[in-house]
Amino acid sequence: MSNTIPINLELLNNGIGAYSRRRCSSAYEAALVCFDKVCHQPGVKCEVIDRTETKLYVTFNWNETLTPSIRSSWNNYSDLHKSAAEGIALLMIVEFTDYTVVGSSQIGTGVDFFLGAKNSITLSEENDFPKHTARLEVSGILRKSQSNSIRKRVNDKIEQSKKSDYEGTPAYVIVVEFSTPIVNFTKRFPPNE
Amino acid sequence: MNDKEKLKQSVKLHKEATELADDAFFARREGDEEAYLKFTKEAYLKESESASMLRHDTSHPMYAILHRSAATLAYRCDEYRAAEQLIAYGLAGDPNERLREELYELLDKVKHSKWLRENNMPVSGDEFILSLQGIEADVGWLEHQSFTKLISMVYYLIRNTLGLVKNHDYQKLPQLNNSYRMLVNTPVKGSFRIGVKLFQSVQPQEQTRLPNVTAYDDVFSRILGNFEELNNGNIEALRENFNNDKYFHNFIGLAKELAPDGERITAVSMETKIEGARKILMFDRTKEEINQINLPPEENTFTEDFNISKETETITGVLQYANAMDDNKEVKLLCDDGSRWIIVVRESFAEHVVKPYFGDRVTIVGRHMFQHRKSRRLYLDDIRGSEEN
Repeated sequence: MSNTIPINLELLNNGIGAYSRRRCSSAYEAALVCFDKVCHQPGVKCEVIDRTETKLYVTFNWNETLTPSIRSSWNNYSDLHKSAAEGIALLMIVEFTDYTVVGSSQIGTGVDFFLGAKNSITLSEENDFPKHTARLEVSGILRKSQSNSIRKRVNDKIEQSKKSDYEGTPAYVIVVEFSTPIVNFTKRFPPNE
Repeated sequence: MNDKEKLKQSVKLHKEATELADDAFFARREGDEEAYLKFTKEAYLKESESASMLRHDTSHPMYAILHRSAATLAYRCDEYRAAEQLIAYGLAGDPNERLREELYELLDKVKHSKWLRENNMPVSGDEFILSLQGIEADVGWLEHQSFTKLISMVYYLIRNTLGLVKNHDYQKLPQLNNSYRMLVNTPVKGSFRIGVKLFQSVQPQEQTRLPNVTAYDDVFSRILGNFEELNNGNIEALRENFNNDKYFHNFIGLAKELAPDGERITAVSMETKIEGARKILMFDRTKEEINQINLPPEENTFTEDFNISKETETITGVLQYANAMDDNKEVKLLCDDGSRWIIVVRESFAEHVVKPYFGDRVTIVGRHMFQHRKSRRLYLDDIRGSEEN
């Protein structure tokens, strides 16, 4: 596909759905650090591929220059890749689906994010908890390797998402690999749907 | 307050709890453990109140989720009794199977931490965590030989790292339990993961961090740092970390035993939690890659009269108990054709790399040792269990 869709990473600084601005800004910084580590500049072109091997391309844009203090604040590599991938995944969800984040599992375990219709947060108006109508599992890889391939990570995450199939909602699995870069975007439904 | 108002209040409190949990997350990332605990406690109190607002409607989809969250936060700030009560409330509703499992897993953690506290063990003590991924470990079960080997490897890594830090001669390394207690926690379902904590063997009232604080603090981070160098292929830097051939060879031997084989175990991750700060390494060098590291023969492990060839030989047989390991560090291998080989073992491999295989069928890779002509004597480079009959 020749069309390339621009995605502005700085949108994360506004927050996404119920995911706080602070968390999203942190994910934004992490994404910049990851792209910097693998020597990618603003405007980097990224392949997005789904389960049917359908491809499209996006470009990730940002204006901010990465400072040494931001770089050094991310010493824990594992959190870095995960946070960066979360930022990218949330932008992809907003761009390519009708969902947004209505909750996250930063307290306790389970799926990474609960998704709901884009207007669900406004509709609930603080009288009830927003309805979860989809789930999102995210994973990040800085550089793929033989033992840490995208395919394997996608399969692992798909398996993980099955544990919350009881919700009866579709699950998105997004795996971001920063060095190529490539985003694997998978949607699956619980077996009874 | 009517039910509608309670629900509204629950939503409001949950939002506030989430913001406080965010504050705690960022405080910990900045290394401010005091602020982390303060925010976590505030978040726990808010989330607990939020959960209590739904007690009139245990079938509400958020009922068990809020109780699980509140219990998690209570656990994180060491409020174990409160955590137990919140878990019990969560279970008293009708949570689905997955949530039930999560609540029971959390209860296990709470019980474990309570036990540590009641036994005067620092609950938040530094921890070394090893996780295995692959078909042998993914369901949370492991063959008993693999499990025993894993625990031994971690034991030797810790003992030898302490030995190096304390400048012990490699030949005179004391048993770990002379001065320390190494505790291993129960594997967690869904992956294979063990956590290890190390304590000084002293009376409970004296139970603090070790007097030799530097040595203690260094153990887990040194181990992780050495694996990081190996993973990045910085072998010279790794050698310098040891500055002692026997300790270095020993580490390579252990690392090879722990390394993923690419088939049954595909990845090994290591994590240290030191004063709350986490560091994680995905160790993905394979055994084959580590085998490529050239380790020169050690002094005193074979008679000076022998030369060692460059070509390697691979032989399979049973490693004999008889004369298991004499002073020359030699063992015997009985091959299928009835021939007997003498296998010369470097001292740094003797105890933990070779000993566990006594009486087992193994495949040995080694180099010929010869005087005037080749004999049935190999200098061991690699040993692994063999399933052939």
